Parts: sequence; structure tokens; C-alpha cells
Amino acid sequence: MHDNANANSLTAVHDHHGEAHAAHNPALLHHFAEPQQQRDAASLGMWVFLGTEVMFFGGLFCAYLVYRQWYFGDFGAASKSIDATLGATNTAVLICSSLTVVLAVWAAQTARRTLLISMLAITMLLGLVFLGIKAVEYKDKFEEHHVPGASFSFENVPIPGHPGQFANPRHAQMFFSLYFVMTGLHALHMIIGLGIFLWLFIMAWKGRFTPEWHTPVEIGGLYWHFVDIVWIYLFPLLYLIDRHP
Amino acid sequence: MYFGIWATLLVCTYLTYKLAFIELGRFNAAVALGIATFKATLVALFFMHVWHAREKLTKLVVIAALFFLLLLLGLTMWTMRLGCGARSQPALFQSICGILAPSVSLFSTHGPTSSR
Repeated sequence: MHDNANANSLTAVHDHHGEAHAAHNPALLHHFAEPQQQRDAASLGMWVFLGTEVMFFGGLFCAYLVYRQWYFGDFGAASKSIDATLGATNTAVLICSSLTVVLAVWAAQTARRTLLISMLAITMLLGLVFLGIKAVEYKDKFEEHHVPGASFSFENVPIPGHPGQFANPRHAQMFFSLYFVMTGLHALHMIIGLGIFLWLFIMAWKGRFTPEWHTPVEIGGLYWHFVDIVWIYLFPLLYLIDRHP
Repeated sequence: MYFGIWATLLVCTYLTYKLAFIELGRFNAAVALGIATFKATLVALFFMHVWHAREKLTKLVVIAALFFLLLLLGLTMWTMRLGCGARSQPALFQSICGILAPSVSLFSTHGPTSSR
């Protein structure tokens, strides 16, 4: 039934296909039986990737837990020198950004283009605020000579709860190494997330998302929420070790 | 509904921050991590839509990732004799190591006195 001149071309197949399958949404790929299955597959793929990310950060958390047990007092002293208020503010910023992300997904599901675009924009803004506060924290650490390396200095810092005892600078440097690697890796994920959301914003602006197909918004949202969860754990572990004495 | 979760998350953050400055002894870490886990669970279940997920495989992947993370953290802490298990029960730790050690030697291709 194909035209013999272009029997092997895709266009011939699709023309024929278009007549026979006029009913389904063009966004539905042919190896899926129905749209919901396609959505679930995309979401599952993203979750498998997030599983690998869990192990990525998990290794660092494991290293942190070991050293924290070994150098508890020194880590307490080092943790006291980073600003917990800035850390708590950053946590609140990320929680608000997670709200705007989930509202953006809802907006995409219910064909609210203006809300979608504004929520994506606010998410990016909050992400930039987070990175800005991080930059301020890093600057403070740089000025106090707490960045591991040749100019690291952590002399005569008392260990919380043990008056008269001072932190071992080498052990404190371990804390700051972990602090910079873990928050730095997290910040890198934030920057990548910002890039993803910029792309989502441009696509949404062009009106490419419909209630039938808005998969990039959903799985971009999953990524952003994961980055938020990592920070939810980073905050108490790094900032709030030994604040009570 | 999302706003309810959001408000809960903010309250929990405030709680974590405030409780850190109160002396709770050994429970400071447990409380902070407990609240963090509660927050992470809320984000995963409701913001990432795991609670309403139709595909069972999604929930399985989430649980599997968690399982392997806990395996990493738990076994590392245990083998390095950290945390409350090994220190308070050295006999248990020694006995399990005693059982595992001979099986490890089965896998080695040369003994400790090898000239390599």
C-alpha cells in the first residue's frame, strides 16, 4: 500500500501512519502504549539517576560521619565558626524554591502558562539568592583563613563544652575540607539546576508545554527537589553540631 | 495542600535551628537528623509526588536508593567501631568478624607470607 517510489522512507510510513492513528497525541512516542506509561517511564528514569546521586553524595556524607566521630571536639569548634543563621536562611530559601517548583509543575498540568513562567522565574531567582548567600559565607571563610591550604590557620580556638582545650588545627582543616567539598558539590548541582530551569523557562515562554506533555518540567522539578533534600541534610550536619554550650 | 507542606517544612527548619542551641546531650544529633529526615520525607512524598505515584517501580527505586545509602553508612560506622553498636557490644563484633575472617582467606590467592 506504500508508494513504490519511496517505500522505505520514513515520511511514507508516517503519512500512512497518520491516516491510521489520527487519534493519539503527537507527543506520545510509539514504543509506549499510553501517555501515562510514558510519563511514568520518564519519572522512573529520573529517579534512577537520583539514586546514583544519592550514592554520590552518600560517599561524602559517609566520610563526614567517620571524621566527625573521630574528631568530635575539633569539628564542633570548626562548625561554630560558620554562620548558622545564614545556613538556616539558605534552607528556608531552598524550601520556598521547592514550593515554586511544585507549583510550576501544577501550572504545567493545568495549562496555566503565566503561572508556569512566573514560578520558573521565581525558582531561578531563589536559586541565585541561595548561591549569593553561599558566596558571602565562602568570602567570610576566606577572610578568616579557614580555607584549607597553605594559608589555613585555626589557632587557639576553644572546643565547645571543654574550657581550656583548644582545637587541633589539622583536624579542623579536615572539617573545612569536607565543608567546602560538600557545599561546593551541592552548589555545582545548584548551578546545573539553574541552567536546566533557564532552559525550561525558555521552553515555557515559547509555549511548548501542554497538559498532555510537560515532562521536562516534571523531571526538572525532581532534580531540584533532590538538590533541596541534600541541603536539608547538609544544614544540620555542618552548621549545627555543637551549638549548645 | 502544597502550601501546608511548605509551611510545615519552614516550621521544622525553625525548630531545628532553635533546638540546636538547647542542651540535649546525646539527643541533639538525633533530634536534628530526625527532623531533617522528616523534612526530606515530606519533600520526597509530596513535592516529588512519590505518595501518589502510580508506577510501583518508582517507589521501589526510592526505597532501594535509601537502602543502599543506609547500608553504606551503617556498615562503615560499624566496621570502624563507631556509633553505639560496636563499642557497647565488642563480643558481638568480634564474633561476627571471627566468622567472616576465614571466608575472606578463601578468596586470597597468596598468603600473608608471600614473597611477592
